[in-house]
This record gives sequence, structure tokens and C-alpha cells, in this order.
Amino acid sequence: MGVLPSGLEDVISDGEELCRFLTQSNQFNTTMVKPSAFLPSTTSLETSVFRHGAKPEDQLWTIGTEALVGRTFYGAAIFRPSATHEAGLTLAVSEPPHRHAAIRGWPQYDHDPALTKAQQKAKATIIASKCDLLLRT
Amino acid sequence: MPAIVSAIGMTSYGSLGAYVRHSSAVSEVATRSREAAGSVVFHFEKSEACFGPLRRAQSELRTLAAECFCSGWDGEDAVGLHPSAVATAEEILRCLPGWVPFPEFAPEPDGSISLDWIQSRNRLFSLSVGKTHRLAYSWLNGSDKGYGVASFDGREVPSMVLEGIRSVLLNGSSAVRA
Amino acid sequence: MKLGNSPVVEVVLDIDCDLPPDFDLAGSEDRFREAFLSSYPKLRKSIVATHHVEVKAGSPTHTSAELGVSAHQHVSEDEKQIVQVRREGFSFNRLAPYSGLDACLPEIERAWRLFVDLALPIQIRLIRLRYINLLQLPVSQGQPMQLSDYFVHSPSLPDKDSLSFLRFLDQRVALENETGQVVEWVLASQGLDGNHWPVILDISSVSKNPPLVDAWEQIVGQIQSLRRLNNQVFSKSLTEKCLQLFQPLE
Repeated sequence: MGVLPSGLEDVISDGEELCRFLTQSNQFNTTMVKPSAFLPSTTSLETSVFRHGAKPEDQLWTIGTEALVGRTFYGAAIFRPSATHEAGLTLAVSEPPHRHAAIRGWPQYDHDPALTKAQQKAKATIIASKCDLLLRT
Repeated sequence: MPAIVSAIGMTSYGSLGAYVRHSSAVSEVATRSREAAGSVVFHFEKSEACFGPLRRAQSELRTLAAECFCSGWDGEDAVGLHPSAVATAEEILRCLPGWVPFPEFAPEPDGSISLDWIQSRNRLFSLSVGKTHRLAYSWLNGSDKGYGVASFDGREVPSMVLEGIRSVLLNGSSAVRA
Repeated sequence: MKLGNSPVVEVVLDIDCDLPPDFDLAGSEDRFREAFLSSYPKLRKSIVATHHVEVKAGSPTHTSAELGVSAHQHVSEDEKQIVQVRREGFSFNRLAPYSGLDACLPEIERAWRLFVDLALPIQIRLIRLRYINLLQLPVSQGQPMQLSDYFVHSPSLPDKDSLSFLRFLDQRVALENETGQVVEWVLASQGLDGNHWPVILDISSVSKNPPLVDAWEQIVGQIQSLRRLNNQVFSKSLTEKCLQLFQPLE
């Protein structure tokens, strides 16, 4: 097991907490993160996440500010690797930037974009149901 | 000879709206008729009592569309929301039966719009509206879950979608949108 | 119903289908154009345009439009007949002069088979037959128009002594219980036009009990059933006085 430039191990353990920064106010409501917040990029077919949990909170927001290059973000969805595993997806370390990881394994069917989206939504829904919403104050 | 024995209004506002928006007729007379119906629909939709909630939902949708019009709205490489997806989402709002509450909206990285009916984190129905008339959906109801694709003809919300919304929201009971 | 002076201005047959998920309307334009060229040499596109206007204080207004093709219209030389390839399926339009559905059916079949060969529809969702009629009702000088003279269930005024119609629009939708077919009719007028009062009677019936894509005899059967329903609504919506305007032949 090696060590990454961030100082983290190069394998994501089941006990780790991860976060997905929420950059648009409709990606969540008062009680939960919405599934669309986890849908993958259309170019990379990955969902960008970071290896940090809810605490310490100020460190979490610092990571977000640096990663999003000053762009406004509203909070973070906090989850564990088990959420992605239950959705049938994988997590992979992906530095730089520091602490960056990616949710991979999203389905894609070039001949049927709607079916692709439906299956991706189903997986995103599972992750969203397992994560906690943490809003910046 | 079969007889017409039932006259049903059947969401007559919705059917008038469909008459306005969906026509493969090309004659000038058809256009005139559509325009006449359109002015009725336009006038009808001014009613706060009848259409206030619809207008507010449309306003939320348009606000989202304006906010996410440009690509990169997520700070990454998200595609800007497709205007045709916004138009289709508005049509779906108009076609929702009275018992269905208006959904929450969310942008998706491929330029589609998500219409979400959320009862709790474990009971929700999510519908994607993109550039085509094929709608992708997924749902979660406790340990039950699923996904599918349904076609939207511009006149009626697909029955599979309505059933999915009903099962996660109403849990067998009836409710009517205020 | 055969009429010597038919008020039909347009007949539209829609066969809405599930097309393959990867069907590309824009990309298939050339193939369809070649297939329909001999009888429909003109091509038009039906465009859906959505516009975005962004106004921010202190910034120039930004406008953009997204254009999408919703249908290709293959038009005959005299522009009286159109075959449409739509995102939702197939349409056949016949504009006046209209000599009856039976005269159109052979060409409808030919065009439908070409569409099936190229678009490869998976299944039919519905068949819709629409008749758009323009009734030019005569108006006598100095005499008020009595709609009840022409329509069995005419729109009426709360007080016919003090009020007179400028325009009206009446839409009704009904279910034919035995067949499950749904018929919709719109009666619309926008007032006097010289010494006539033009009234649009737009009748459209739908069958959602679709046959298979390649079952042409069943498709024709449903079209004929929809025609019967449309004719029933037409003849029973109009008074005898009105029907006589169109010189019924039987």
C-alpha cells in the first residue's frame, strides 16, 4: 500500500468518509442531496469526489474552496464507500488535486441514451439515499 | 352502430393545451384554429386560483434554466441546460393530473433536467427530461427500486411515470394538489 | 359521407410510433428524401425553436436559440399532399380538394411502407384521423346570425337580445364506449367575414389499440373505424340546413 502526494493511502478504505461538493442550489433540498448531484460527467464518465468527511468542517470547506478554484459551493454530500458499492460502482483514487477520487463504472449504451440515463439515475439515487447533507453556514 | 355515449371533459384544459401545441396539420385554417385555442389557453392561465401553483412551478423551472444555461454551471464540465428540455419539462408540468404535486427541479450534467418527487431519502421518484421525448426515470421505495424509459407524447404523462409517483408519494392514499 | 361541396380543407392521418432509440431524424433526411422524391419533390422542415434571453444589469443582453427539426415534410408538386416523417412517427396530409379517404388510401399505404422500411418503427402507439372543416355560413344582410340554425349543440348567449357573438371556441372530448376510440372536436369562429361567417369544425379521433407495424389490413380497418366516428360527429353536429350547404350525395 503506497502513499499519495496528499499523504493519504492509495487505497480507499471502507471506513473512510468521502464528499461530493454541491455547486448548484438545486442539487439538494432541506433534507437531502438529490440524485442528480451524483450523475457522472458526460466527458469523463466519472463523478468527482474528495476523500474527506464532515469533520473537521473548516478543513472540508478549505478543500472545497481550493478544488473549485473559488467557485461558490453550498455544502457537501458526505458518504461512505459502501454507498457506491451498493450502487454497483467503484471508487478510485485520482490525484491531483489532493484527496481527489472518482466514482467510476457508470453504465453507458451509445445506442440508447435514455436507457443509459435511467440506469445512471438508479445508481445515483442509491448513493443519494445513503449520504448526509452538510450545508455551509 | 357504436354510439358515443360518454362525454368526458378529461382534463379539458390539458387537452386544449395539447391541441395548441401538438399538431401535424399544415393548412392555414388549422393554424387559425390553433391560434384561437392558444388565446383561450393564454387567458385561462392568467387565473391565480386555477394556475397560480403551475405558474410558480414554471417560474422555478425557468429560474433554474437561466442559472444553468451556460456550460460549466457545476464548476466542472456540465453541459448547459437544453432549451428544448426546459420546454418539454414545462409541458409535463401542464399535463400533470391534479393529484400530483409539482416536483422539485435539478440540473443534470448532460443538459437534462431532473424532476424529483421526494417523500424522503428512501422514497423518491426522479424523472429526467432531455432533448428527446424519451424520459428516463428511476425510483426508490424502501428496499424496492427500479428504473425505466417512457415516451412522452406531449399530451399525457406516461402512466408508468404516474404510477411510480403515486407509489412513492401517496402510499395508496389520495391527495389533491391545492 | 359523400358531399358535393365538401367543407374539408385538410385531412391528417397520424400514425405515432416507437422508433428505435438511435433513430436520427436529421441524419436520415437524405434517405427519406430519395425514397419520396418521385411523388414529393419538395422538402420542408418543421422546426422547433426555443429561445433564451439573458438579461443582467450592467451586461449586454445575451440571446440564443436552439433549433431542432421536429419533422421532415415531403410535399407534392401541387403542394396539396404531404408525407411527414416526425420524431413521433408518420403523417399523411391531404389539403383541399379532397375526394375522399378511399382515393387516398393506396398512396397512404405506399408512403407508410416506405416509412417502415427506412425508419424501422418498433410498434405503433396510436392512429389519429383528423378532418378540418371550414364551414362558410351565409349571413343575410340585416339579419342576426342564428347559430342554432346550423349547429345541433351551438354555443349560446346568456341574453340573445342584448348580446351578440364576436367569436367563440368550443372543445369537447368524448369516448366511444364500444370501441374505446376517443374523438375530440373543436368549433371555432372569429366572427363575420364579409357576407359569410366562417366556422371551423375540427374533428379528430384516436385509436390507441394499435395493430402491428406490418399489419396493413388492420391499420386500414382502424382508419376506417376512425373515419366512421368522425363522420358521425360531423353529421350529428350539424342541422339539416347546414348539411344541405355541402350538397350531400347520399
